[in-house]
Amino acid sequence: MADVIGTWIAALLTIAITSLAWKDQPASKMANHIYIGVVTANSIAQAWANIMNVGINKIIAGDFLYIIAILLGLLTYTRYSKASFWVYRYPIALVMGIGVGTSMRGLVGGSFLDQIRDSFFQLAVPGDAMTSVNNIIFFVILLSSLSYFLFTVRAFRSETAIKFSTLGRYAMMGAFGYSFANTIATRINQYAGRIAFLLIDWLHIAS
Amino acid sequence: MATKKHFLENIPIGLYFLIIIGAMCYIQLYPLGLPIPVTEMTKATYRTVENLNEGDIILVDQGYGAGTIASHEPGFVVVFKHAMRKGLKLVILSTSVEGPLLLDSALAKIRPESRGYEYGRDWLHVGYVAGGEPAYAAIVQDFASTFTVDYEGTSLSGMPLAQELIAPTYEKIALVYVQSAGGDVCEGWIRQSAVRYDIPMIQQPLEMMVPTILPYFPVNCQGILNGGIGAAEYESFSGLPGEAVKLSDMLSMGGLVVLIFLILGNIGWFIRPKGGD
Repeated sequence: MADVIGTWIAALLTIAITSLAWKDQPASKMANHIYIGVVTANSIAQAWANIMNVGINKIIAGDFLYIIAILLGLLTYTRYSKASFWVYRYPIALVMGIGVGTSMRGLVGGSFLDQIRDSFFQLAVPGDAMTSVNNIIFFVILLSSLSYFLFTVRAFRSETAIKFSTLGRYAMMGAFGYSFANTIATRINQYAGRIAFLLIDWLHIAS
Repeated sequence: MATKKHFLENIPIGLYFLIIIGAMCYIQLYPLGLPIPVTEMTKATYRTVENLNEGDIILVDQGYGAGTIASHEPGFVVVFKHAMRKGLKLVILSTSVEGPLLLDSALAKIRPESRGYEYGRDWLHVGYVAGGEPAYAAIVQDFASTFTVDYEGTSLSGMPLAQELIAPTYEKIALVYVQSAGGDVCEGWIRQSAVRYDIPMIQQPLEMMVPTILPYFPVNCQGILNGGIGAAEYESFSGLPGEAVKLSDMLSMGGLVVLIFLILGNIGWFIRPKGGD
């Protein structure tokens, strides 16, 4: 019985929020607010469980170093006080420092060196014409796209260099098109899931 | 004075949605069963899981929310089923606050117990993880000291799978599988596990985030599932059909209608009276 009620609530809320596509109206607003309310309540519950599991429980177990972390966390709330709001900058600075430092360790390798290294390959692969063509296209597009961002070198202001960088611009526009098509696919996929739910789980008219 | 737009450029938004939804409903009621071409990214993802050995551990970031469930849940289900077929172990966490709530829905489709999978021995769920990238770093370095209890609050000390993950954890993890709607989460995991410790990785970002992750393939990220489309390909390729395959006809039809509207909009732009802006 609970499943049936849950399915009906989910179906009606799906229809209510879909009505936004026609125009903004009370039903879509209500569904929107319910969703935000549920997610916010859940976020608070999950965050509290996280603080308990990763912080408080460890202090109770005798790992008193976590007291420092809890205190630093509490200091972030000083930003709501006019007299001592400056204190919140210290825990924020610490979090930012740790975050940036942690990211940097993998950033240079993953986002820079590995990708440069991955760009070095044999252009013409004997016996594999398609891979050879792909490799050559990749190589030309890589160079032309990079040349598009060379603004200060005089040699790259020549007519030939400008045409070459224009090729890079078109290649990037193609990549943006791929990204946009993927965005459309994402939106369609999300709603396809809801349609399947409505037709299969709610109305039982499809399988 | 602005030039009057052609009616093809001014199709009411409600009508536009109505036609797309109508077309998708029709195709769900009368499916065509169109073939699903499998991309190299998906094949590589499949091979990465297939090449693991029985008993290997997969760390799964089930980092999706209700808004992207249609893209991510089928991928989670099919990779979990594939892992069970291979006898792999799974440790599940979530970098999304909504992830733990949605796990039950996925587990109902997987039914780990049907394959003799026992909680705590073969799979584990530790719930939501806050902290972003420093948290990922802590998890791959020392899982056991990062988590002391599972999602239900049960101590991990009595669970054999958790005991296998004592530091250095990165030596015990055979694969990291990341599902997320955010590119920062995907890239964070790449930096903290694939780049630093050479842990093999597969990812399932949202379709729109795939271009962000694509440059990491295949050096840092050995496989990418392109959201729900990738999940459908994986289901088809692995012989484990599920929900994504059922949605694939709707995706094709929805995409086709959008394409038709794009063409109509452009025709309208070309044939509108020239002059003005």
